[in-house]
Amino acid sequence: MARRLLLVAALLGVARLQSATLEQLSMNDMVARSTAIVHGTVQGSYTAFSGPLIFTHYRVQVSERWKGAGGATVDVAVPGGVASGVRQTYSGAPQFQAGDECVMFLWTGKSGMTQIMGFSQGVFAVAQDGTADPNATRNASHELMLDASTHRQVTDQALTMRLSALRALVTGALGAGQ
Amino acid sequence: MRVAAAAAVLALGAPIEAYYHYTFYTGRVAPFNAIHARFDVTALTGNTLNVFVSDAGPTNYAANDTFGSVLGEVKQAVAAWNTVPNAGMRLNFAGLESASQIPQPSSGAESTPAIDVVFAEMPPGLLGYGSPNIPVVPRFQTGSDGQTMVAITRGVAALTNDTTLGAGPSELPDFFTTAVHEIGHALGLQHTWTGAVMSQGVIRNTTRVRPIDADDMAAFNLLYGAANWTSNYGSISGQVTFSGNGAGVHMASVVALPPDGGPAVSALTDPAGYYTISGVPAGTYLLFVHPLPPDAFPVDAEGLWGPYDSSGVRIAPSGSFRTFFYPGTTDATVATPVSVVAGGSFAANFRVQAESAVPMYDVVTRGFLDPASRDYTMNTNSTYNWMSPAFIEGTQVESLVETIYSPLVVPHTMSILGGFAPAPICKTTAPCFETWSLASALFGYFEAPANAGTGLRHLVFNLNNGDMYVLPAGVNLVEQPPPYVDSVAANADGTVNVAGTGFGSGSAVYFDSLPATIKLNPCQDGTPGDCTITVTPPSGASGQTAEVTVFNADGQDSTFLQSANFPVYTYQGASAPQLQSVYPASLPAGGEAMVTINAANTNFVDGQVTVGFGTSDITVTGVWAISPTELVANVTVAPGATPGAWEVSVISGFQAMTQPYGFQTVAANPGAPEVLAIVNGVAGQATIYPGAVVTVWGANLANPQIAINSLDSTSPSAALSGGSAQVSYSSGDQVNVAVPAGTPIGPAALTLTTSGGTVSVVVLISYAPPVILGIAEPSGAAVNSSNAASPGDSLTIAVSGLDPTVTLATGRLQVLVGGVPVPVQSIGSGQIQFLLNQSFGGSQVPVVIVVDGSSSAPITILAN
Repeated sequence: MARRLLLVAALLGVARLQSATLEQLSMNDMVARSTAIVHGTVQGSYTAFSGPLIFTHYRVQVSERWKGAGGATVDVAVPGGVASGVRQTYSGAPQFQAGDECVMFLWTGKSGMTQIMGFSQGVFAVAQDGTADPNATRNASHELMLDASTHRQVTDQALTMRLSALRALVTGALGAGQ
Repeated sequence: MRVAAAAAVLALGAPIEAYYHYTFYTGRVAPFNAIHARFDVTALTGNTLNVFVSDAGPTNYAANDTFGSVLGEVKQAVAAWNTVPNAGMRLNFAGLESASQIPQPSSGAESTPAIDVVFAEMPPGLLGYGSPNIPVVPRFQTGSDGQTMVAITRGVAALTNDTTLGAGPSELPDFFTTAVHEIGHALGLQHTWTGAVMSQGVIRNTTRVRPIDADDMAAFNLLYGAANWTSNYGSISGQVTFSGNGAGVHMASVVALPPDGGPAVSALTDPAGYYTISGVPAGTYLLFVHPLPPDAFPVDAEGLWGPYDSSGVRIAPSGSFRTFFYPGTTDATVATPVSVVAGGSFAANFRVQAESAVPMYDVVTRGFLDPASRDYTMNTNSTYNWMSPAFIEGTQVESLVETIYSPLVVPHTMSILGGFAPAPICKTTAPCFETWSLASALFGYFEAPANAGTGLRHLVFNLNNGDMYVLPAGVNLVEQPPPYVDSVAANADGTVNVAGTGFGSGSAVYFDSLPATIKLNPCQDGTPGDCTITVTPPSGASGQTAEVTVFNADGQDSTFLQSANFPVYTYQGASAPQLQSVYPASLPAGGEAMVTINAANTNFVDGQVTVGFGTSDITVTGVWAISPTELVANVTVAPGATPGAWEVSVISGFQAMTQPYGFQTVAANPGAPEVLAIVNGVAGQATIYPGAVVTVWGANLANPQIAINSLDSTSPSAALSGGSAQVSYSSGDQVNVAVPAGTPIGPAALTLTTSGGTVSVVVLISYAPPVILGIAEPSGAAVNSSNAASPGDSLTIAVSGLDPTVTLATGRLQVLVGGVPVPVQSIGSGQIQFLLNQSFGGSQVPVVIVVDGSSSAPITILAN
């Protein structure tokens, strides 16, 4: 006998992952666990080794800082890139071009290196359409995700909203967390 | 109805390798010849690729987690890639390397390619990543197999430096699977969509007991297969074109799917739409073609890398299309199965209908495990353990499979291939599915057919618009509950009793990341009730608390029910292990030598110790535990080794010891004797044993004196062994020498002295092949050259001199009749029973016994 529409109680369940790669971060998680949230424009980039790993460092001119202290620019490191004649490429790592306008949810670790939260999860591309309130879009990630609050496995999806709405969402979450 | 399609098997020309790796094409017009980035096997020592781990280790550990456990996971992950059959390259877990000495591409510090495993600070949500180092300007060169290639100079796999996050702590299966996946990237593999370990995380379905799948093996062998590896497998080739304009479809995925379960094998099409699925195990398959999900090619190029043309310009994939089974249906029950035989080829072309988007992809599946009843039926309890990918139990009335996809796509039917009835949307009874839009989920209720067996099963979603989605390995079918560990108790003799339920004859017991040695396992699959497995734990660190996990062969493990509050075993306190001496402490470039290592407070066990020298220019080709505190290792230094001082490391179980700058590589000594290989002088004999004449290959070997001394200090005859061995021939590059008849079994040092110097290497002295005394029928009558044996006879060979340890590992012994292996039924101390399972037409045929690759003298019998 089939059991119909049964599973609200299942949300209380205990999750176990077999192949987690990314933890899905809700907007509240992103706001809470990031060390900085900036709206800015990529000015340029350079690559450097950290041990045997190549990182591409993007210089981001900050136009708005929604969380965290810092200067007018921020150095954001993303794994992968070209250095010393070789290329390292990491699936899922976002790439930027000079002039790209983004909202970035950033995390600075003990080493002092600033990285993007959860690869593409932490990037909202801001459309450069000349409007006063452009769209900000986050691409879906294709890596395994775990919902941080329910511990359910989920798939990600693209998310688009007005920049003003994103700003309000972030500042609202910051306010709620205080 | 399934129709055998063997008649369609065609002999094709040279295979068109499809894209799945880091690939270049020489041009942008057909024909396309894929050029893959891969390690140059000819640049390695003994076709062996060293994998090092940074000695920096993680900076933050979860409770009870240790660097030793992390190292164990990496070691196991490296070993997983060594399970690829017919491979022409092996990986060697090479211990630790100094974080300050890991070479960067331009440094020139090490001349030999390798993989570096490092621990990196990762932002929340990210667990690991890996990549080969690919030249920015590809230099096409010819590989050892004659194929054009781009050489990978080094590979890197990055794991988190904080095991409190993500997949950690390290002893959890996810940490292991992540390590296998990232090392795969470092080897030159990209993603696949079959559920294999190189699949994206959402659809991956590999475990510690099945760490890689057929698709991974095929991908590995396409880069590193031994000569003629394809002769052991079949292949499927063809072209995928659009039905409208006939254009080839670039980067379509063609998948060979065992319809009744088992791992799939796949390939991607080249820019003209051609593909070849190589490495397909013999069997019956359904074929289907599907577009890659859009997240494989996101606009910011964060997905698959390449392919690129020789000018470095990316060749874009084609647009989306509808998925279907060969030869042109979305109904799996009427799809044409194809038969694949070893060495054979099957031709299958697809004409696909273009679509604007891919409606469904990257579906996550989950099963619901009730911790009270320990089954996968969704009852009314409020707490469940979610297993992903889904498990269902074939012996229970009904199992629930949840699939998650956002945004939710509601199919017409949801099916499990392999005898399950398709599930329409629920109206009355199972099989059926229902939707839960709040969670973008489908809940499918399935009843397994009788005798469904165990293993991977594949999901098919038939959509209302006529399209479909196939999820290989979306479901794991099992026939018993997962294991549960009730207690872990130490015995006085150092063994440990692990008691619980759900254990089976193939259960493995892990202490943190390392397997324990099974001493006694009386447990039977599917038998309810408690059972106890007795094991010898791996060597632990002082006071280490190891989490104990039981893994069953069906993919279930005790973390399914015990994901918190693990049963643990605490090692006794002891003094810290220390490396005391390394001799010699330097070697010149080129050649091979024995290095002796002494330590304190260790418990070295053969087969459980790793010795490393911190540079890829040194390869350890063998390690033997002479005593609990002494090791000998054969060490090969690359001819082009960079002079320098390197970190010596010894990893024994969970104990890791290092001696920074403890070993030096120095410039080659042109006149010194070099030993490159020691082999039995008789062709076909793979082992070295007392009385054998062995050939030493090398350089500067003329007019040597040779001594062979046992290294086994516990052998009562060790003191009597050694001294001069008789040299029967020598030249500059070859010496033939007899192993003294009394040399004890076990490791021995062969010391060769010439006017240019002395070199020692370890040789393993094995038992001589047994002597066949006679062969008899069950009646006792002799079988010989006049009294014939017949097919179906169970015959007994009387032997002498058989290695007694063969009875503990019977796979080491073969019986060949007329050169053909026959089933061995039993092995005793003085006799071997085998089945004559085929006819030899009344001819005289030789019978030999082969142990570890060395053959006895033949005895001839008459065989009908």
